[in-house]
Amino acid sequence: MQYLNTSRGKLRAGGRGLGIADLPSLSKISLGDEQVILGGKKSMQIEVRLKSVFHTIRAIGEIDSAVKFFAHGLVHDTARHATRTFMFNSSEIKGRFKDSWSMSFKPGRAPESTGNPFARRMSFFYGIKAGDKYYKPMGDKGGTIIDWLEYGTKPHNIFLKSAAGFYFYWPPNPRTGSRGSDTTLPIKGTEVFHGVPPTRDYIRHPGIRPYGFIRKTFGEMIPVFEGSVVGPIQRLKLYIGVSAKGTGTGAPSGRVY
Amino acid sequence: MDASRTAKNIRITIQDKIGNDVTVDGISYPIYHNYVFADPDDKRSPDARTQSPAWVESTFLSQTAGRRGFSLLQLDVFSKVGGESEDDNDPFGMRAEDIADALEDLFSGLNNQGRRKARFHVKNYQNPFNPIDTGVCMLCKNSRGDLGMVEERRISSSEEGLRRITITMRFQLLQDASGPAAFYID
Repeated sequence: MQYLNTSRGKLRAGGRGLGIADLPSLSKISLGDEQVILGGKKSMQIEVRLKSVFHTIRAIGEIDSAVKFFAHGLVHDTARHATRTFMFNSSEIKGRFKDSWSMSFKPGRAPESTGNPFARRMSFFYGIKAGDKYYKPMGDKGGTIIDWLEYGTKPHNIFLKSAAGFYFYWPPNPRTGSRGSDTTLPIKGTEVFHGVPPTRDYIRHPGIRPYGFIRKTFGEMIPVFEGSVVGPIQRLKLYIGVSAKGTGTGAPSGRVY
Repeated sequence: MDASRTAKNIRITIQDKIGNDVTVDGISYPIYHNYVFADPDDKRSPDARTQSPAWVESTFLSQTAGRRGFSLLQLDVFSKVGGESEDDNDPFGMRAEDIADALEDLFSGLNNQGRRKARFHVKNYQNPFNPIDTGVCMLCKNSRGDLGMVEERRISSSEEGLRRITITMRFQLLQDASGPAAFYID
């Protein structure tokens, strides 16, 4: 049995799980006489002035929409913030990786694959990911590019398998004065050419240093999430008024301010 | 800037606490700090049989502790898989796990005095041979707020005959952890 805290004390909840207090003498209550506190959660306090069960149901519907709308706006802003933080934290990685971060929104519960323990209880979720190609398993070891960039790699050899040779290309960069790669010249300090033919069937990669952009962003976003989502929801107050006249036909008159 | 807030002192304090080697079952394995891009003593070479069969590398991913942020330290445990008949092989990665556990133990739980190992003071390394305690407290604390717990621990895919376990630790000054109301005066 569920109970609700009301100004009349603890009352049994009724209304088929709608969260409406089962008031002892509803018909005798005049407008403004009764104040019911629904929920009782620490994070949110909702006060409803009852006129009738109908109005209460309507008001609860509006409260539900208002809270979800409110939370959605906060989470949306935070997800955008997180996407920008991912871009910033991966900005030192060469290439287009930093620009590949994107944010997606889906209504409904989050997929279990996100690993989020609250996935089943979600009513919407935002996903942030880098470009698809960075999640593709590479080579024999099963690593992905995003793993390598996040956690780094040791110096390793890259062997030719099916290609005729190694091919390294980078475009001219007017900002730095780089003329770009020249396939007729070896890479400075090495015997490896930018293009075919190779002087060996493998090259020695110096390794990738760990960038840690996921862990950095995660750590940085926790206080942002607490301040931008959890805090405002904890401070949320909804004031619901029922118009004195109503419509006379039972049309809803509850408003959320 | 106060000595307790300089990135150098914070970094060396943590590295000094971790030390230059880790001992498991009476065997010491070297810890190499800031060895990005390096292959210390050609350790990953399968032919280098005289070298240590396992080692640890550390690198800082961020250094904003003392700047209202946190410092993330990545510790990589590398252990040679080795051949079946070799004495110092690690076919199931158990040696790597033991070393990683020993590293976690540096900050987890209580010390001999009954104090949390996750709390320690930043030292001033102006004179490296005689570091001075600044009295400013530093915490090893993950994003969920658990003292002495790692931020993340994962088994990475094997790299050319090496077992690899990656541990991430997060460090904050007590002042950083105190929330937005706290601020620095120097």
